[in-house]
Amino acid sequence: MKTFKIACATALAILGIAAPSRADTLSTIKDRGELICGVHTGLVGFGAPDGTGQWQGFDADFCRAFSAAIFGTPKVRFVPLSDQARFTALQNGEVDVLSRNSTWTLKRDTTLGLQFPVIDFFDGQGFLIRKSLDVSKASELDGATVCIQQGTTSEYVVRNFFTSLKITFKPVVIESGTEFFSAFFANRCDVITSDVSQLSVIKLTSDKPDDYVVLPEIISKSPLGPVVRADDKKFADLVKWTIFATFTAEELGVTSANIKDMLKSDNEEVRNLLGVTPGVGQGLGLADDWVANVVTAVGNYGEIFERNVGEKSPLKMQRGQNALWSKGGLLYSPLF
Amino acid sequence: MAGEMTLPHSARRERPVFPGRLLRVYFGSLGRSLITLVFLLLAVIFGPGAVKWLLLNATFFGDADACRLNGGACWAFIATKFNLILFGPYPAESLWRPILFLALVGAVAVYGLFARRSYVWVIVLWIIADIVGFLLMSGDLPGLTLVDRARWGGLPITIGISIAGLASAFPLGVLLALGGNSKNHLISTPCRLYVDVVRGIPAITVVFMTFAIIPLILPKDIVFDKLFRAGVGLTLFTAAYFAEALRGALQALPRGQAEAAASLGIGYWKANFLVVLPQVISASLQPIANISIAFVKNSSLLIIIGLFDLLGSARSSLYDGNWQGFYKELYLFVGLIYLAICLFIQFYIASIERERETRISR
Repeated sequence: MKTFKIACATALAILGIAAPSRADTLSTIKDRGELICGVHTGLVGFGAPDGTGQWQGFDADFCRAFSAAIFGTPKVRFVPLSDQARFTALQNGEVDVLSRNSTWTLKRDTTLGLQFPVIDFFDGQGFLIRKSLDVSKASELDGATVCIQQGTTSEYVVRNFFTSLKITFKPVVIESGTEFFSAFFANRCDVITSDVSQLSVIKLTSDKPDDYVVLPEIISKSPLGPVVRADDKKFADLVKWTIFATFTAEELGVTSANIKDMLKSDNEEVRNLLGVTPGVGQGLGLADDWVANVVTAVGNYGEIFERNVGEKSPLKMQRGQNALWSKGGLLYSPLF
Repeated sequence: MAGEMTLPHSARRERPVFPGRLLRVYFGSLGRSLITLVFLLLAVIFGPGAVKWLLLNATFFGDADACRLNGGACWAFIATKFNLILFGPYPAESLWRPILFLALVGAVAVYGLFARRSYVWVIVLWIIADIVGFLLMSGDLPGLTLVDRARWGGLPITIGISIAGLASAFPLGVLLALGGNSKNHLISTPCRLYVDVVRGIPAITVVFMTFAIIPLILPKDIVFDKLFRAGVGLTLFTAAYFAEALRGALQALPRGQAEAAASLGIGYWKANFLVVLPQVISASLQPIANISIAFVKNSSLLIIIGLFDLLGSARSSLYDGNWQGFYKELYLFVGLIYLAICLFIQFYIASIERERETRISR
């Protein structure tokens, strides 16, 4: 028994020693010379390898943004992670940051030793319909047949939504996967409901994507954002303020195209943001031109959105909630 | 003993086919005629549709819109994504390296088919090809740029990890089988326990455990590579199956064989390697082929830890907004590659088996 106790104590001691303290992620990244970013193994528009093997997409571009803030130009190593492996990989230090469509929940934020610094994409449940139905608002869907994925919260959400509008609907519950959207395309239902980002992809899998349209209403919340380890506030700040910088750049009209002119701007807010007036890098441990570097590398939030999931991409998603607060959206940055 | 082994084999051997014999084979009796008719009917029902989809309406060049217009299979998608499917996110400018690796493995495979007798030498060649391929892919050779392992992918991963994993799992399996058969309980009990425990766990659990647990118990500088961890997981998993396959043959082998060797003054290891194992291995070649095939297919579980094996990198080509909805073509294509690899393993091991049988019966 005594030997057993000693063995246990030794094992615990080894585990304690082996779990290295990584509280200073920023220095580790600088020493390494690149940022290691956990991305999706494949999600249209958000993170997937292109023909040359480079990771592209909305989430991948934010990896580039974080890295440009640190190094001036993006130096990123992309590590693809599955849903099951993503949080483990971040916890054991395999990646510095996760930028792969993770929903911010109380449980994940408080029990995994991780933190969600900010929301960079407001997703939520919506409706995809045939254009031929000639419906422009969800409230006009009275009596419609709705395809719903089994075992998800979407069934509950959609029921609440229609009940509150006092209109009737016929639910068709289908197992998730390919059957789900093939049922829709095979005319088994008039409407299909799921997260808007997924609906935009489902639309593309049809033979005639232009015959379908995603309705503007969002009826549930799915806040997505990057994730970092909980023990490093400084690095969390860097991630958070990089995203705020892309919001603010859009607000002030700073784009990757006009950044050179903007550096000569007289606007005090612009001069402050781009580090012409010193001070913007100080608190984060970065150089003062970090925002300028981020915008040069990936552009402002609007550019990132349009390029990957918006009008300039095959997904053609509307800005919706992902527009600036001043344009009816939810993007609201604290002050620089 | 040897005579018994060759008898069913020679009975199986096919005789030359003549037109008359052909008729008798397919329409010789009522049963045979019925079976032939059923198959002809199936071909008539499904054949035209398949040919139409696979070839006549298929699109070989062009973009996604052309594919949707033609309605058939979209082989243009496979052509466009060819590099991504076969080599994953590997840097485009260095693609010659995985191609060279595959060529090397292919050359050894062809050589192996012709040099069936010297299969030990062929196994050594497999391992050399694998090591050279590993160095090529990582760029650990003079004059080559280093390629980060997060960007490896596709067929080279599937083949590389299969060769390395099988080459390490087999010796481990041999030791476990011998250990499990030992008279010393301190050796046999742990070995049997290991085999039973591992065989009771799904492969995907083993892969995920080695992924999540190894970095926790070892200092991170030592084992931090996902590819390595995945290989260790699948190897430990497969070794148990090898051990069990060999144990069966080991127990079927008359004790007299080992005792005779001992009476000649041959030591335990030498007796095992010269007398017992050659007989045991050649008697369990079929299960060995099965386990090897299972290993190749299990390697497709690696996507769960973010490693792009052949299936994983093929699927990653589905996430291009411009090319949505062509998964049927992709799975068909990848399935054919897996089929080719597994058929090769089956054919190769069967040919070694035939070779050994004819040699023993001579």
